[in-house]
Amino acid sequence: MLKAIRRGTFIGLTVMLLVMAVGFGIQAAEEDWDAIIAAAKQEGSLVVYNPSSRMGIAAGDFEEKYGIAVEWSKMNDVEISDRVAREHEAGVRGADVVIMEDAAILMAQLLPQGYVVNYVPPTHKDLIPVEYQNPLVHQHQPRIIGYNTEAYAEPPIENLWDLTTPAWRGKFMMRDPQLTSTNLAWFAEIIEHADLMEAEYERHFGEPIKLTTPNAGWEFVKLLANNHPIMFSSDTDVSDAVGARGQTDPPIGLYVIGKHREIEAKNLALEAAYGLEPKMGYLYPAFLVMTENSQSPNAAKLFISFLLTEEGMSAWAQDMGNFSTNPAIPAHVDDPLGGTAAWAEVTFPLNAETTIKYYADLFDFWLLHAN
Amino acid sequence: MPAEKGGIQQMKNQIEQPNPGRVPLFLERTWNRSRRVITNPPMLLSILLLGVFVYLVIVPLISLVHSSITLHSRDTLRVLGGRVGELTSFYLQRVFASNISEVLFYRPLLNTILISFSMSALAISLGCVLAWIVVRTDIPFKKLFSSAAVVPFILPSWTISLAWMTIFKNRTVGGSAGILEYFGVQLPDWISYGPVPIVICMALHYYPFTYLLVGSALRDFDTRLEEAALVLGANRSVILRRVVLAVVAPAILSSFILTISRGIGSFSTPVFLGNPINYRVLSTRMFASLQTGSPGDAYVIAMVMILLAVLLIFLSNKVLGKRRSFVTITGKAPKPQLVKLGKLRIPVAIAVGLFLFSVIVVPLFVLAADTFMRVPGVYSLDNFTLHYWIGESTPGLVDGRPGILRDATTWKALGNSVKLGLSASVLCGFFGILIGYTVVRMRGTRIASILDQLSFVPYLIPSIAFGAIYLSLFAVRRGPIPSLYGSFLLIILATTAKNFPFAAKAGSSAMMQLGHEVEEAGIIAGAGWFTRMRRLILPLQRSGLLGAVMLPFISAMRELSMVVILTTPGTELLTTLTFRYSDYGFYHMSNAVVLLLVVIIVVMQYIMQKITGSDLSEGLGG
Repeated sequence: MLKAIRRGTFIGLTVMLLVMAVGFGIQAAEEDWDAIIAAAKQEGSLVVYNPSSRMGIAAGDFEEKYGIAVEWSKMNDVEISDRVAREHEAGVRGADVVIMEDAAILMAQLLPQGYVVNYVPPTHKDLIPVEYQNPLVHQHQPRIIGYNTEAYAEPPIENLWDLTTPAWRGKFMMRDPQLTSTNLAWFAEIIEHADLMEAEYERHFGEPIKLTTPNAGWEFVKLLANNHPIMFSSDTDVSDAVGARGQTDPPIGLYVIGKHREIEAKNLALEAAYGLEPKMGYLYPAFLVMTENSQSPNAAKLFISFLLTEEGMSAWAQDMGNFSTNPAIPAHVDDPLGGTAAWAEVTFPLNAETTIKYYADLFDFWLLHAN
Repeated sequence: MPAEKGGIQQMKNQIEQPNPGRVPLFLERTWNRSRRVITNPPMLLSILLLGVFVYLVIVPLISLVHSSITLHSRDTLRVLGGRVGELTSFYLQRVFASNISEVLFYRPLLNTILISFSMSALAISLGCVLAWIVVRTDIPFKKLFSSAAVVPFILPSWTISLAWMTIFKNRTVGGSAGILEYFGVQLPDWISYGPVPIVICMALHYYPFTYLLVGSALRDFDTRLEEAALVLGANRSVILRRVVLAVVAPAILSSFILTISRGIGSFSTPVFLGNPINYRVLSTRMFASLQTGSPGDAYVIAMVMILLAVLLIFLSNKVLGKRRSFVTITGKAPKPQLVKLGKLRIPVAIAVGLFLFSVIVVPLFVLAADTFMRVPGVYSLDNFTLHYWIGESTPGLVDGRPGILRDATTWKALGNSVKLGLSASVLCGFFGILIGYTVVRMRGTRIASILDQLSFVPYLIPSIAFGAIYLSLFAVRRGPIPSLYGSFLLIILATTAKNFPFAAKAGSSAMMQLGHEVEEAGIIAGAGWFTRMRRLILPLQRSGLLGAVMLPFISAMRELSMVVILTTPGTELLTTLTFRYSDYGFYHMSNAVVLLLVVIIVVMQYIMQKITGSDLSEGLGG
């Protein structure tokens, strides 16, 4: 009953959001882009909160091109949403543009409460696929399970369910799901695909699953939590730990595949577990929005547009594993699968509605079982 | 006309004309009273100060309670139909009586108690032994040992924990292993993480409390008492137990209070050594709740932490109050008889030297060494690099950040730290002198004792809870007061208020020594209050003032647990920068920044001692 009401609220909010988004879409189409560029230069600077340190490169490129200074910070989703909400309530100058990965907080809270607004620049209105416009998605990234190639010639696990076995107790690493909304969202997809998980269990272990929770998805989350996963606050920690050379019994870990760019510099022995059943990880969107009380709204719009161009995306696209929603920007030449569509096949693409549906329950469920 | 004369004149008038008949007596009395308040600077000042305290200490406390029973914006996802800001018991229920209460509260509470008590026991034993050896025996290098023994407390409290990780980290939680594992020593988890290293590292940081207090008790100890016992036929162990221990017991008890109250609130050591294996104490659990977007839970936990600290201090005050009369030793032995260690003299000196070496030099050396290793955890010469200090941005290494000395972020953080230190210390010095002046001049009045007690309140509140209080108060606009969230002013205010107790103590002890005659002379010479303050009181209090200023400066420079909640990217400090770097997994950068901080703090401390000639025992606050 409670859940049904909650779901009702979320659907209501989503509808509200859609209406708002359509409204803004219309507004965007009528804008005079040259006037925006001129006004943006007048504003002179903007503030960006985002989860990626490569924003520094993009910010530098933007400043060089337009002479508009970008003050950027790397933060996780909780920090970003907290700050944006506080800054809005306080009416103080804060972020103008925000990139975040937490679909639940963004779509069920920040957007409907009016803290941030969705903005699709007219420069890319016809280019970005419609499904990535509400709210605007900047890029997709696969977060995958990887292993140490020095210790293992091939992936040491075949199935996600292996992560719940004693063999991998205390040897699976991930970013803390309480700090990393996308990891919670991954669990949400697993719960949503409980039937698939149940079938996989039986296929892999040769016996039907015994449930102590509502379904095989929740059961997976519980068993994983009970199996002492090691939690970090950054992907760097995970990929370094998994890939460090000279380990006799290295762990496996879930990290964003872009970390493979550090293999050479750090001399890591790292590879993604291709072929892992049912899925080797998940594909998550990074949403690009502007704040409602932006002090530099035109610079914000210009920056959003810039990030959608090949030039603005190059900070990320120079490495494998970052897929712009702008179809004109091709996948990296070294991409093993050739593009985002192929990644969506071998991973769980995150779905915002699914995330919102399980979000609050999952948070406490994980806290309870992982401690 | 000087204010004091007005009062006397008034009294004279009243004596001569009891009731002039024009105004009712009670009105005149009220008028006189308020006139006395307005024209009496100490009175006026004490009312102003009261206002400051209420605003900076009491209002925030109320706000904390309020924030723990109102719905926060994020939790509209959790509470059905809840509106932001409405009253709710949701958080109280979650923390105390829900299926996650054990994880959220009861287990961290037990861990906190366990850690605080074991840490205090270890720290006090270490401090007592060291104090006894240094003060009461004839070991060589006394002066060196005596000043080295307090160094661990000057260093940021997490220095030793970072060093511990660098040495003892095992592969359980992944990442590069520590030095010992690199050389092939397999370490069990309980050595690398959790309660054991937390207790050890905290004890190594806090034993100087005991060392200083017990040391000074031993220094004042009248050795004739020992001689008397000896004459009466007591043997060595009886003397130690029944005479020496009995006399230093109050000092031990006060060290216990100081140490354990720090233990309850301590954050940085448990966060570095406990978090990797999910071992939480109240402070780290509270921080995790804030970090994961559950401020309501965090505020409830903060209240419990404050209650715990208050309870503890209340209890120990009761015990202390009873025993205080015990330490009335009058007179001092002309020359204390040192215990002759004989054959043990050199071995004991070596042991003390080794101990101090391993808690001061080794951690710093290890941290320094780690910053020169290009690939973490590989300790060989060809892996040597200066990259993390002066390198240019290299893609793939620490996210392409340049070395810390080249990184604008570092300099900005350093600038902020200095700015914070300066502002907080100037404010503290200012308030310290004012509080001291007021409390001493108004001694015996109710308002003075209220001021005196209020200024002590911030001491009762664990730093991280204090940060939470300020966050809860200033995160949103309240009435005419705008939100200070993300502003530097907020950090300055919190740091100032947190340092009130030490400022007030420094101020009033300085004022206590200043006789009233000086000011009376000024009054007779016809100087107004401002002139007296400017030309007489302040110049005379210069050194006391300096103490009240330098202490908050140093403590602001190395404060982490309070400001970690309040800083935002624009207001990053050196301390929060180390925390952020280690959070990202950039341990090299984190270690390098800590070392930078250590250098700054040690230099500051040195300057302070040179200028004020003061002993570190005054530094107990930081």
